[in-house]
Amino acid sequence: MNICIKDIAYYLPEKVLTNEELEKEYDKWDSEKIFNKIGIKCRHIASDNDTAVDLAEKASIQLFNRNPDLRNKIDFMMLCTQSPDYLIPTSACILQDRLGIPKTCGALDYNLGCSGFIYGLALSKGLIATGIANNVLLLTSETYTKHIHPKDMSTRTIFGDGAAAIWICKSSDGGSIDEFVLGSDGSGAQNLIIPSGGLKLSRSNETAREYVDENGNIRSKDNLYMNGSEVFSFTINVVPKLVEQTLIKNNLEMGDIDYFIFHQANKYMLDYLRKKINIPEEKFYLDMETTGNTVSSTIPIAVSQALNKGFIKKGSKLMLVGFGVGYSWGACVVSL
Amino acid sequence: MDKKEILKMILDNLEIEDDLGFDAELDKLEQWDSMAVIAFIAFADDKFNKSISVSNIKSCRTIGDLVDLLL
Repeated sequence: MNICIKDIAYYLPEKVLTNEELEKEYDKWDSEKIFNKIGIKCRHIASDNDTAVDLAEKASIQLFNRNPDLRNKIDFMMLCTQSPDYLIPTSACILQDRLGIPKTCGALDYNLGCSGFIYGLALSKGLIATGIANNVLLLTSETYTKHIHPKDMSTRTIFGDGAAAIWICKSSDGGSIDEFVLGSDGSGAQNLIIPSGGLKLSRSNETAREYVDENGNIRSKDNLYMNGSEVFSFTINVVPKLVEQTLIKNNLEMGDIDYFIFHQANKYMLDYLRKKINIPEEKFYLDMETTGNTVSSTIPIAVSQALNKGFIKKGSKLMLVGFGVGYSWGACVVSL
Repeated sequence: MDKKEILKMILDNLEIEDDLGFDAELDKLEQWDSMAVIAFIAFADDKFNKSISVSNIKSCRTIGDLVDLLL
């Protein structure tokens, strides 16, 4: 019996923001230019009434519809989000109640972004391996679009909202979650940040004041800020070594991995990484055309889509690689 | 590789067709946008195996300064 990813469901909000709509709002850009640079045609936007908790709930319901016995078996649930409903209480507890999951279930939120799914797998594996839990519901859910200024093209073109619900348990069907490599570097904290709204800097008229950056983008301290060049520089430094270390930790070589699924950040970055690490195109997932960058959900959504498209199947050996906000990173090998 | 060759490679990388010199000022170039900084980081990494910090790039005033970063 091995601990494995048993099933994945995901939910993307109905409302969609296309490149054509962005083109109308912003003179300097055109749809083709946006698509060529970042590989995104549209991104899903949560409605005003829907929070990350709502998206996670919808993804969970899909997972339960596919696995009718699952709800009552869950003994641990965790929600990866940076957009909780409240600072207090824990959003995962609220979801336990709304989803009708047994009260014998442990629940927690954890605050990570692009690396979040990998960390969730690591935590889930640990809980099951030690006998603390048997059936873990891992939820990733994000609504970055609620933090983005409408006139900030550096982020508005890239991020989309979405959620994934993943069932992790022991199984003898051949699936497994193998070894992990994780890392953190807080010196990059200021390069992907919402400066206000936490305990460090409260929201005020001052923080709401808009400013124009050197590229003509407008935002305030209440909005998401991303320094694209710094994040790119960090990524090309860290990720190739991460992939190498993950192969070593798993006693594998490049040729042993059937398919690589990286956090779907943007096309330019992924193209560069793929070439630098020497991964053949046919073994590398690159598709955020209709989702945009959904932060912690990009990897589980990509796994699900790659399965549906037939790029991977039961028994495929995957390397999953997450990296970004924090800075935080992690990778692991899984067999489906 | 000499400075002139590096200059040519940088101009190609930035998709600049004009025959600019070392003293061409970056902030006067239309092509020197946020994407160009990223492309330069990639270029330095790929062709020169150098990890150049964003702050070093931002402190460059001319194309010649960019060339010097790669020497």
